[in-house]
Amino acid sequence: MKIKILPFGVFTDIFVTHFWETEKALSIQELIEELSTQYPQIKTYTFRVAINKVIIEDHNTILQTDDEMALLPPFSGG
Amino acid sequence: MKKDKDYFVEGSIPAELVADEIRKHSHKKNIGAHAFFLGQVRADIIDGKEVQEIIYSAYTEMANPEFSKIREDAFEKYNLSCLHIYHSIGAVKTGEISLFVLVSSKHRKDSFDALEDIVEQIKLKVPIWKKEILADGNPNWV
Repeated sequence: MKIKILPFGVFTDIFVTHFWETEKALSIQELIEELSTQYPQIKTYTFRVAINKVIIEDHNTILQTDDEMALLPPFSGG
Repeated sequence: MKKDKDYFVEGSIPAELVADEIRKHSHKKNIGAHAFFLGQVRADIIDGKEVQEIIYSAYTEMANPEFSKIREDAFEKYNLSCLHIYHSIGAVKTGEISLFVLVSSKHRKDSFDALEDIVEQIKLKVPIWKKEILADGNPNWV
């Protein structure tokens, strides 16, 4: 399963990986756990997750291959 | 599929754009009131260092539809004639304009009420981020 990772805001300075490949199906929460083994800093930030441009509150949602997972720190437009 | 409208302007929003928008509405004779908001980049002091500029970034594929939704909701909620939104992307120096919202209606109350609501909705719902660049060149994510 291949997931595209889209980091935004402060995460653009942290992430160098933009794809995550895994053998088994993962939930959003499980992928965040895997990502934080490589990028422990992400756990120090508050953020929401969008899958294919839709914000998903339930992090038990299972990801599908080729999903785009965006990591969205609190918005600060204006 | 209909292409999303693009609400972003590269760099700062020039005063000419504001003047042009006002000029463009002069033939719409049913309008009796325009209310507009301009967001300006402040030179805040962070740990003793002054902000020089802000780099705006956005998830544009989510942000543009979100701007459209805010627009549609405002037209449903208020009696508006026109509504225009421009937001900067990229670098904007302190003192320059990064957000321009123009609301036009028959009577002033609708413009005034809608304007504050729309600006608050933009801040809350549109995936935009700012990175302040300080006097020593270091970044500060907001």
